[in-house]
Amino acid sequence: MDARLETTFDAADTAFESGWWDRFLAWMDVEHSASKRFMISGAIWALTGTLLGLLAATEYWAPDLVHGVAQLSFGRLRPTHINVVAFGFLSMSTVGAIFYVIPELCRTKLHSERVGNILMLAWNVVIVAGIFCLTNGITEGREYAELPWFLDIPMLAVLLVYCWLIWMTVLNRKEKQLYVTIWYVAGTTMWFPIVYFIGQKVFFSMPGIGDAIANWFYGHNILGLWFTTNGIGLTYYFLPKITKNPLYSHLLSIVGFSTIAMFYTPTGTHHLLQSPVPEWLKAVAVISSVMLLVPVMSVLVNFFLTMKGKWGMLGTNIPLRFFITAMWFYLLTCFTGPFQATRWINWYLHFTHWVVGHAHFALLGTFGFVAWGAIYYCVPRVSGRQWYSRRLANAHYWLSLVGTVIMIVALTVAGLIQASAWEEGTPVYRGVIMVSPFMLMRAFSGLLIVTGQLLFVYNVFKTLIFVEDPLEDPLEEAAPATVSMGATK
Amino acid sequence: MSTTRANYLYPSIGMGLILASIIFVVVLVPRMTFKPAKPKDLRDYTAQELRGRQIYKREGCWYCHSMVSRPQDWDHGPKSKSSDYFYDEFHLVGSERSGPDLANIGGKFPDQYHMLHHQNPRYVKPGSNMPRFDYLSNQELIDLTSFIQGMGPWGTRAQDPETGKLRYARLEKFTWTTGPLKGTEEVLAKWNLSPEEQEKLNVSRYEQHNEVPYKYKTEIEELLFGTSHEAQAARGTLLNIVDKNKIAGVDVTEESLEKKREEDSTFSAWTEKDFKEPAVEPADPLEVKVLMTKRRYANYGKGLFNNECSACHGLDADGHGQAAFTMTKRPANFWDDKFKNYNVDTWYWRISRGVPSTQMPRWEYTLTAEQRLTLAAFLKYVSQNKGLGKLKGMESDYGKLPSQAAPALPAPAPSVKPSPTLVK
Repeated sequence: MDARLETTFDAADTAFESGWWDRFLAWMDVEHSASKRFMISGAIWALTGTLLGLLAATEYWAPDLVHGVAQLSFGRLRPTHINVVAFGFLSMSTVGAIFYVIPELCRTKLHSERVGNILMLAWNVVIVAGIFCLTNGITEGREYAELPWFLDIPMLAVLLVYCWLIWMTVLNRKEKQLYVTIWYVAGTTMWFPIVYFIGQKVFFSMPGIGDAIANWFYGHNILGLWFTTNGIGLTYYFLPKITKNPLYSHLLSIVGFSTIAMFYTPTGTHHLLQSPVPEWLKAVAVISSVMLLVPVMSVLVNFFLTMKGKWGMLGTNIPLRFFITAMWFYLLTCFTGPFQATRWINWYLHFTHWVVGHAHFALLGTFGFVAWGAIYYCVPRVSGRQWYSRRLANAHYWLSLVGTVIMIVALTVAGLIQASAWEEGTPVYRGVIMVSPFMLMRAFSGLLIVTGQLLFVYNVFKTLIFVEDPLEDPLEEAAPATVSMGATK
Repeated sequence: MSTTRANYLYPSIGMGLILASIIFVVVLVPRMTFKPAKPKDLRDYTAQELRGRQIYKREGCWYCHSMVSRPQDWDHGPKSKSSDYFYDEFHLVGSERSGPDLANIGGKFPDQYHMLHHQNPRYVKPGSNMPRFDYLSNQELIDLTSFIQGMGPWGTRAQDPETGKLRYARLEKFTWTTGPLKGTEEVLAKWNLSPEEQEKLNVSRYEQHNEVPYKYKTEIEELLFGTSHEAQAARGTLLNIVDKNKIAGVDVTEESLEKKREEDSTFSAWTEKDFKEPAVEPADPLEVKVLMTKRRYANYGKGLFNNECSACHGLDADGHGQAAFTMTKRPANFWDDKFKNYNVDTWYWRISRGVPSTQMPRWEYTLTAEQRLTLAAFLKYVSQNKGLGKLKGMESDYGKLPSQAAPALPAPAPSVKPSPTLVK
């Protein structure tokens, strides 16, 4: 443990003798504590959210399993699962990692640890209240924006404070250069509150079917302008850092950054291609969806060429393995995405399980893996402690990977079956019966993922909360000095 | 590339401007310019329907039931227009279709069907994976049903643009306001009527609705002999069913089959002639072929029947379905002599239009014309043979009965055995 951390722990210890308020302040002032607590929250929400998803998936296959309990009916579990996973697991884990990465890149400290901790508390309160509201039927009934208005307002406030915190850290930086991660993260803090504002009925309202336009503007941009930009920004930091390779091209990274904001913003209406909304808006959405290939390909080319000569590290370095897996998922997601947004493919696939599979591809396969990798990388750095068990981390990786792959295969095949059944003139509900075996497969994959999360949370608790010494080797080994595979220089 | 002295200000301003203009174009411009007109053929929600809509939103129905009928949806009624959503405050368009689209659901099914379906979907649709909403109160179920019955051109909200009145008669008048609906006492009381009273009920039921199904007669003729693309496609599928019929050990040449087709047109063979099983199995290969074709055809209808109808009418089509005694009016027993004389048009019409004042749905909105025709064949077979006959145990091309069969109801069996009461 380095000396800097020891002094902060001492500061916390001495505070025990003073009153509870002082102790609380000291608890909030420990360096890296906001980052650490955000990541612990993220891990707990990962378990909770996947558990909710597993229950919903099981009920989908066996509808009589739970009945007579309103809070556990499928229609209420589904939004709870989505909100916990999106706002709890993915958002909190990435923000935790950002609170470590941005100060590192700026060669400074987080502007205010205290504000960071307050944010962490407020964020968790919103999610706990959200679970309570959604399971009890207090919902706005708009996808990804289900939280009621009295939680939308604190959530927006939290996002604005987060924006302020990141910008103060960036403005007070010691390092003159702004690495591309800072571009992504700082840009996201600016535009995501705008997106969130437009997406919530309490702030911005459109009448009739126009509500769907506003909803999907937000619904798609929470992916594009929040999870994607955060996740990609973090990967831009971790890949060169872990492999000790320089980033392949800074120019490509700037191209990717500037086009993502341009092409992601108007894509929302591709969720409404056969709905009665203005045709020009659909055209804009389809074109920009296809143009998304530009930022995606520039980012992925950059990442995979940065890996040059270091692919062998995947065998030993667990965080790197998470990031690279995420990027392969990202490649597949973003290759299918633009095509399924075109009118004729959408005509066939819309409303089927294919779309659900695609959402899990992006959120679980890509940004879920980025979040896990980021936690695995950052926890030893923010706490000064090695991970409790490498074996548990490994098991978590494989369970999550196999689970995700099974889930995506099941949902994709189910979607194709549904689409062809509808084309053939089979009534919709018969199509649902046809895909029932695949729904069992999805529930099984959920079981694998939840098991992985259990191991993960256990590992996090043993490392950070019960503070036990590591059992085995650390998760990461130093980059091999010699180039192992595909060497050219 | 690495710049040593980068100016971050101008690129940031530029990107901010681009982002602002994109948001302006895709959000604010639609908000200013896209204002669907107030619909003339649709009225606003009533307070009860709004309560139902709130329940629909609260229970997350819209996660599985979309509420937009697309151009390619053949079975969901007319395509949705932007003005259909004029009165909606929170859109419920949905993004997935794990259940049928509900944009035009109103009037397709009777109210009582919906009430039962919400309490336990398996009562009326074996194999459905919809959750049970048995935790809703009676009043909530009624509100929800009234909202659902309002949707679409056949719903209660659709009105004639000129007279302002309802455009379509309802299958069943919505009469429940409150009262013991979830319990079966009321229903059982009706079942315990004396035979005379039951017969009176049935007489009124059939006499009220003796309209002649001309529309469907032309529809069937079009399907069987028409030249349109749809008719030919339907015939193609019919032929597939026929041609899949392989008879072991019987040699039927294509020429002889073609000849037979010409002389009594395989398709009209079962519309004009009866489906009665012969007393002895025929020996002539051509006769066997025709017989097997009919059986095969009726058997396709049996698969459909098992899936769509057996919950109420019973697996043997004798009116003893598991959901039967929850209904205020008993499902028909197709073994009944009365049905022997139904021709295919009548069957087709009954299936398509539903039976007003009962809980029989209008299947024309859910099944294709061709599927309804095979169903008619099956019903002809059952009524003429007084039972499933040779079809019993035969596997259907349409599909087996789903594994999740209709659950048994908690109430005791009715004291009056539902035997057919004849109405001539």
